[in-house]
Amino acid sequence: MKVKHFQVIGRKAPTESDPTPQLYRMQVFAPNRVTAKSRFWYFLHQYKKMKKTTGEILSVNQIHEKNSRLVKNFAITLRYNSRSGTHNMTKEYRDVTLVGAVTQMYEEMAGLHRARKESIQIISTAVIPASECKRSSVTQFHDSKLRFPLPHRRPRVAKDFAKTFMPYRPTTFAG
Amino acid sequence: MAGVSMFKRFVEPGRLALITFGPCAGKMCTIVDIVDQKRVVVDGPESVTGVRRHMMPIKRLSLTDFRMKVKRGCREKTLKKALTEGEIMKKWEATSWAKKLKTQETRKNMTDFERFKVMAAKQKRSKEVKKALKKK
Repeated sequence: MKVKHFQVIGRKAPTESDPTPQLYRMQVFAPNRVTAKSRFWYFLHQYKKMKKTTGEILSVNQIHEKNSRLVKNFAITLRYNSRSGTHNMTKEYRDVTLVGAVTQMYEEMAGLHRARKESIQIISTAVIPASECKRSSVTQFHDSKLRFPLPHRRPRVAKDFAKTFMPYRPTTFAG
Repeated sequence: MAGVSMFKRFVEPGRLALITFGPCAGKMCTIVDIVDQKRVVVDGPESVTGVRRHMMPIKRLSLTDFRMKVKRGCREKTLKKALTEGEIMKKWEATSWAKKLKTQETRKNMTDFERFKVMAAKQKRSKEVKKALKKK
């Protein structure tokens, strides 16, 4: 499912004794607004004595990446439940959008640690400069003279024209 | 293992490439930055080829022999300058690859009658060729 970035603002429902309760703002990653609101209450009730039935949501806004033409290094700190316990970790990704980096993280956590989305909590996200990156999967692309060939390419054929058997071998070397 | 020198076309900033799939299919673009092993940032630039700067999977690209000397993540202005100074697009138009694509495009847009005319002209040509060959 596609992840989106939301900003949710909520508070306790105003009462006569407290007409203007404290506002709380949270950034959450969720597939839609409904889930975003749900995640907001889930996280907030862990910190503050408030819940959905005694509170209200004032706004839910989707946040779009400001500049998706620039490659950035993202650091995502997260906490997840494995089969045997809870772990914290920080991961680094290269992407043009934060949502793209978070999607990469969810896919990698599912693949490497069998952790599904429900058992992952994102603690913080940050754009970090190249000098602060630690993971080799990210730093290997920090070379101003980076270049690599494409040694073996399978030609892409439209489904309508794809054949099971071909009269000739495909050309896989493109120079 | 064979050395890198056996390759001529690299995924690198400034490499001219053809987009083969997606909404920009058939257009030319330049690689501007490398995101990871599978994805790059490309730019037409938009004023030259109609491809705006965006991320693209390498799978959708076909690399060409042409390369501009630009730095990683260069600005559109610099890229455009490098393109026009090197006359890269002109050189690309002159390659047989580009010509083939152009013919395919014109063939695709032909009407039934135009296709018939091509067939008739071909018949006429082969007739002449055969005649000339027979004389010998």
